[in-house]
Amino acid sequence: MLTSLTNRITVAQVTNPENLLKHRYLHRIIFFTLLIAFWQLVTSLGIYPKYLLPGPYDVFETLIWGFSKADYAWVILHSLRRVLMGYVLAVFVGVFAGLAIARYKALDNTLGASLTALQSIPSVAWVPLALLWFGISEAAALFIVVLEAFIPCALGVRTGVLTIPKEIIRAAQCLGSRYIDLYTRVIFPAIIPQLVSSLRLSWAFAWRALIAGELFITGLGIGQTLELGRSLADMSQVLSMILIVAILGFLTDNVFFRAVEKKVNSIWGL
Amino acid sequence: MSVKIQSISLKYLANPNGKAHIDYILKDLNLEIQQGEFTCLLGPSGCGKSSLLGLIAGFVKPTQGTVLVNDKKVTRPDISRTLVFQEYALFPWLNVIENVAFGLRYQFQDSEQRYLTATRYLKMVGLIDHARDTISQLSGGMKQRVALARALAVQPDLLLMDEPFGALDDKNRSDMQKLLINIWLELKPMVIFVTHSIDEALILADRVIVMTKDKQTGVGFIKADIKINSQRPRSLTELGVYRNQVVDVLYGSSINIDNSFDAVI
Repeated sequence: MLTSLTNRITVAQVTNPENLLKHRYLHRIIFFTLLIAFWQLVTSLGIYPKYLLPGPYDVFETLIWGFSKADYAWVILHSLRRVLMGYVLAVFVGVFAGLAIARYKALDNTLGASLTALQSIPSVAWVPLALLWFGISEAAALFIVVLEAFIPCALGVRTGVLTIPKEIIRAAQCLGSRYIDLYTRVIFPAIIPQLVSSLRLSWAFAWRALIAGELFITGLGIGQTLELGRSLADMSQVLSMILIVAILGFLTDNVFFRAVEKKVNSIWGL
Repeated sequence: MSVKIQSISLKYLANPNGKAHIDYILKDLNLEIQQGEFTCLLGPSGCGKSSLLGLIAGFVKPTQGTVLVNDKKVTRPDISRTLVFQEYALFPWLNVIENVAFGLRYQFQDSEQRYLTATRYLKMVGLIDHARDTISQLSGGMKQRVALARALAVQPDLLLMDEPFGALDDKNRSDMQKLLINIWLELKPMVIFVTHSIDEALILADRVIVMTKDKQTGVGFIKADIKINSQRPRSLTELGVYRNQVVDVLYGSSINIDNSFDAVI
């Protein structure tokens, strides 16, 4: 056991990066093929009725139908529009809240501490309140998105500012930088690596909150289509939407944010 | 140009055994430094030499007393007093030449002029071929040369250096000392250089101010003020007399041996 483990480690060390990349894709292809095969097997055995567990081919068919004949493309675009609106607003609020909390100890002691508590509340818990305040409307969904997504941003910016080495600030001050200039030329660029991680986290939070919020509002949206699938007992549509959420999440997080993070970290020498 | 430190006291919050209490780190300290001098503050860690530098720079507010630079009271950091830190404190989001030009923004409107000035100082530290490099690509010695160029480029009256070569290996350290002396001979800025290495102080300074702290109270004070009259470039062999003098000041009476003193001695 131990020898096989050490073998694996040494093998990994001598393998060139190109092979590692090849392995990564190979592993993924094998894994997903097996997963889909297993899914197909379970459905073919007929243990569960088809309206509760449709097979992979049914879901594939639904997706084709959804994009060609129904409104899936619009559904996705509307959800993306909504999440982007909420996200931009949340980042804006989050960055300024974070800067303010980092700057004033009194705010940190009060607001900073409440943010951690606020973060532990799942987004669905806000739905009743949002519906009462804003009605069954897009504003209710946006409210939930902003409320969820600004917190990681605010906390990340706070930590980022408070962990800037004091020499960096002092170096800038003795070179003549002050007030707003100190923020724009030093503090803000200094927290960018931390900010990118926070943006990534905020995005994940926004996306989850959006789906939760959309379950309860009217209008086009992934959450609504999902909910429609439930009420029509169209499990194939439900699974299609879940798949779409997963793929969009993977693309933004693993493809977009990871690339940005990598680039930033290499410049900042992290 | 002069620096006058007039009966400075500095309190700080100490926390030695979990019980916070307020201690003096400096008490009623006086010091005067004249134009053109290369001054080293030499002493063991905790003797208050870095705090003294912070007071002169304007980052640290004195509990009592005043620091006068050019007969003007120091109240906050100013571009006429730049600092070089042990940990470089470069801005990683800017490349080498942008780092050097950072402070020039406040002196020149014209970007061409900023560029030319930064280039001049980069040449001086021998890094002109690395002008467009990112900071994370550089070695420790190169980083410190960028930091030196950045601090000099704004032409400060006073260059403050806080154990700047402490993180470098011996080879880089002695190269940097030579570079610093060459630049100093050319530009003749006023330098206050904090170090805990006796040899470094002797190689560099016109005047070595030996600081130590009182065993009982922990208050840092100036124990000796030694003028080094020796032609540059210097070699350690010819500085034996001064070295004995410093060692004698620090370790002369056997009661006062401070174990925290760096092994460079």
